[in-house]
Amino acid sequence: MTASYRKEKLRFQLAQFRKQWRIYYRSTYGKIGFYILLAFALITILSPVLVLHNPNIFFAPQEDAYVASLELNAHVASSPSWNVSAYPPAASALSTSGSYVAYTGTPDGHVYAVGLGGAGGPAAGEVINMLNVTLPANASMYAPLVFPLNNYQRFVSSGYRVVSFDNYLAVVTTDGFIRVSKIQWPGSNVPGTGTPFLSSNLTLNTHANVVLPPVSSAQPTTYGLPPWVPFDSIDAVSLGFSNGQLYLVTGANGSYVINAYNDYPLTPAWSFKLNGTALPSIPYMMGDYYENPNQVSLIIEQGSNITSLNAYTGQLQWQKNLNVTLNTGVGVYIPYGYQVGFNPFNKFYVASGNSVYMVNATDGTYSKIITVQSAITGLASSQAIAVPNPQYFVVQTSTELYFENGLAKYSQMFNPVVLPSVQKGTYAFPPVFNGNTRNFVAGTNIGDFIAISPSSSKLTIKWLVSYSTISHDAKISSTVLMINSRTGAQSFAFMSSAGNLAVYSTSGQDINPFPPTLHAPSGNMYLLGTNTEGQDVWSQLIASFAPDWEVGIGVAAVTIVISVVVAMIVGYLGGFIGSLFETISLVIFLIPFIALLIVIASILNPSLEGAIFVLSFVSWPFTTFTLIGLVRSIKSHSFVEAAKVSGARSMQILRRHMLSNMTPLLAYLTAVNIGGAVAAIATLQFLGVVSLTTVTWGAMLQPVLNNFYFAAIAPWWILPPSIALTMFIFAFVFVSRGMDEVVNPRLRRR
Amino acid sequence: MNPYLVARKIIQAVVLIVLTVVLVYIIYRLMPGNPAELFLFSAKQKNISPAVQQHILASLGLAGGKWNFENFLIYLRDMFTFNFGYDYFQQQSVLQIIEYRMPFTLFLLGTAAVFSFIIGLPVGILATWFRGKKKEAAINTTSLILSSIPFFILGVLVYIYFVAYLKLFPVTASFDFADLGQLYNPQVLGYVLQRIALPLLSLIVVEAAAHVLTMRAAMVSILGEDFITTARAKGVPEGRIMFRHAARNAMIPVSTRMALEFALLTSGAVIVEIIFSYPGIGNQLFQATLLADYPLSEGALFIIALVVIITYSIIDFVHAWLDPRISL
Repeated sequence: MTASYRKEKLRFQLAQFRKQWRIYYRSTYGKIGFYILLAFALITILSPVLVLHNPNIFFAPQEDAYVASLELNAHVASSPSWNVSAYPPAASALSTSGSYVAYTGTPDGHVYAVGLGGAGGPAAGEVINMLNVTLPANASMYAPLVFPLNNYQRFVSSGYRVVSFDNYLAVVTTDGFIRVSKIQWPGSNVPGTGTPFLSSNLTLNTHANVVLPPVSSAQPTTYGLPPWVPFDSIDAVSLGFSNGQLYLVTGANGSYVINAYNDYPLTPAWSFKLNGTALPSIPYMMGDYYENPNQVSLIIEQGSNITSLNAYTGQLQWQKNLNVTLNTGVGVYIPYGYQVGFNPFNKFYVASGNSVYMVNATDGTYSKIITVQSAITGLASSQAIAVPNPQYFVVQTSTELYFENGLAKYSQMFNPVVLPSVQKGTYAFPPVFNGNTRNFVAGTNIGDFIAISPSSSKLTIKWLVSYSTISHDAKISSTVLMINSRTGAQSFAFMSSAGNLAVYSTSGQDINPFPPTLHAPSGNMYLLGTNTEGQDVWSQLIASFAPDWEVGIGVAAVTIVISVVVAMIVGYLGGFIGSLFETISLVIFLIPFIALLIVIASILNPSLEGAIFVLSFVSWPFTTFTLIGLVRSIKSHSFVEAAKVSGARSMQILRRHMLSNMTPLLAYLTAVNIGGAVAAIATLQFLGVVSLTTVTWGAMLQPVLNNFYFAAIAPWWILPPSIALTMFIFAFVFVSRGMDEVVNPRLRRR
Repeated sequence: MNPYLVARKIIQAVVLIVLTVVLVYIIYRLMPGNPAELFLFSAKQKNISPAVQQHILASLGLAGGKWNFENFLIYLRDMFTFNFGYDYFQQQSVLQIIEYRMPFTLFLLGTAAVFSFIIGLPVGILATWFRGKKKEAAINTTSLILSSIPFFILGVLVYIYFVAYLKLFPVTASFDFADLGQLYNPQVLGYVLQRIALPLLSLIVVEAAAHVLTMRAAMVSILGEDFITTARAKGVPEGRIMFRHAARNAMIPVSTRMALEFALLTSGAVIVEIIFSYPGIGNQLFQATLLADYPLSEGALFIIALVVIITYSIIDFVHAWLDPRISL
């Protein structure tokens, strides 16, 4: 009985639907809209097949590239010891002190200065033998340290005063011999003029077995940033402190001691015996020199232990066992801003296996923040000044670079960047962050370098360079950032095992009117070309279909449900609750939505769900007001009065009369909302307000804002998303028109 | 007019303004980060003593953390006395910035609103007049397409084509504040027009198309009402029915739309202002919000909200005047 009833009902509904469909289909708008939507749905379903490339992968062009120019490739010396280990060059990156030369040392005890060019000083590539240390058998020298120590004021011309720093060079041998010398320039002590030589030599023979390269307190803990001179000269003297310190790890066979030496004059300061047996990491300093000069810490990683010492006194501050073996190769990573130690963001990072741990420097509490696919070999971050997390964080494994958005609390991970040449080599040393161009420079052990600039949700390959194409050196040292005092330009430098010092500019050079990443459409590789970021436009376009549907439908569903409920409360129920709801929706509606969106988007984690929430939150009042008007007008109609008089309950009236009379408008509003939501998310992504890792049409258009001229000369990367987006929205508008014909019979005749 | 309902309307407006002010305070502080830290950092680098640092923080309204209740009370007092303080980055008076920026936006929006109304309404009536004919379909489809193109795509494509490709217009749409007062001078007018033409055009196109659609839809639904049939039966000429009977009633949804649209426009114009680098308040608000510049964004948001709320409240009276059935 019930079964046949159901069947009958179903048949009736089907017939009803057929009839409505015929009316709908008669409308030209409806027909066009339907077919466009059908096409869009089909492409969405087929999108996994149609996408030719990973839309998020950055195609680093093999040729036609934006390249970093090789500023210098000087043969320093030939030495068999280079093959043992090529030491990275050292230079004072502090531009006032002057890096007019780069210093490079050999394990067998020679230190050379190589001119970086410019008038007055050593010519570019000129090699000056600065120091030869006679080493006993079995001993070798560590890479030289260059750091600023004293500062003085210098009168350049009438009344114009500059602050200069004296640079000092320190070398340490494995048998415990320390030598600190001032780098002296001839003439009236004008740096960069003449040929530098070493003076004011101080030596100290500690007779200890030094197991790790030395660290100076007046040196940044990671290469790539200007030294922050925490213990320098006038400040230090006026505050009553000694000058800087050198830290040496000595010992052997499971018994290690951290030794601190005042570096000028060269005297022992303190020693601390580590109780673990594993080889510790190189100790690094962090702390707030400005706030708490006495509270600067020295962080040492050993096995699974992290030890924090007071850098002045050598007293133990805390020791923590992380219960996981730490990757000694990575060591302690302290973002630049936290090296200066701007409290309260007093933290550093260590790696264990595939995970990164964030450690609080005050008490050693730690938490696991990032996990990647394979063992971590390096960490780097952008400068973190007065922010709780560095904005961008790079986790390096031997074959991949993982970029993390630190501001999004490490929940947002970009797709890993894989260099084409990595199949041959591996990412060899931690990436360096160049604050000037905001690039991360990573390199492989065979001399391929890549500069990657992260921004909101995108990674941009700035340039590529391959040193191996110039000379086939077997080994290269890690890279060092330098500032050339004459030009102010930042460069990165490394040594090769053939004894060559290579210096590259940190900015890529334009060798083509188009950005190197912008390829015109070509059938065999990029169907619709690539965008300014070097991503395949076709794949991005196709991959955007699904997320855009998701956002549209999600926002429309949430908005309609909220709007119907609120509109009925306000329009039908009225009273105090009604005005309360009306006021709330009015406030949200009347505050300019752009400001609201920016704020909410910055609070939420960037995800599709977050985007749907943000857009629904802002869009429901508008739909609600449209509905309130209708509810009020339906309420004033005589049939509602009649229903009320005949004793119908509120729910019945709402369902029978309100909802059924609303249906046309609801169907229309749903279609409008889907289109509107897709347009809105596109607008937000275009403005760079909401950043998603998922690719959408709006995200594809985002680079336009800074590249209007590339858009004008290379329209292939803006037209496809614009057309797709517009067509998608048109389709919904057309469908809503077609629906109008069905649900609003009065329209039909006209 | 019922004085009780008028009073209610005014109270509602006041409540809206107060709630907006409170909400504005809260949402900016919900954003991650605290601007105070930037100041402390730069103060430390300049070796400024802690006492002076505290004094600076207090003057920025950031003393005692961003959720300090005392700061909130100060904020409330300042908002309602229009004492917005100084922006964080240029240390300019926020009120002066708003006074400088607001006329630009009002000029752009006002001109766009007037022109879109002048174009949109007659075309909408015309579309109804031609109903069933090819002309109506043409008008309809054109306005449908123009009104549903995402705003920023229209702006970007217009900018790329006219500015970046053809190089017909200046790169930025900015002009001097003083020029606004000298629009009667044909030279100044030409200069301003050259800069404002593209943003204005994109706003007018989208707005006018939307008005056409709303007007036409309202007209069509009103033409089905009983009183129109009555008028027809009485033998009232079709033109009179259109303009006197239908158009006036169709103005109600259009005027609602205008009021709602004004609110949307103050924000929507932000996109146009950003694309064309127009020196309006929306662009300023966008930049200030991104920088978490509390005084500037709060001040700008408050003023915009104030204008919008007052417009919104007035529109109800306009409604009542247009439609005697709506009592106020």
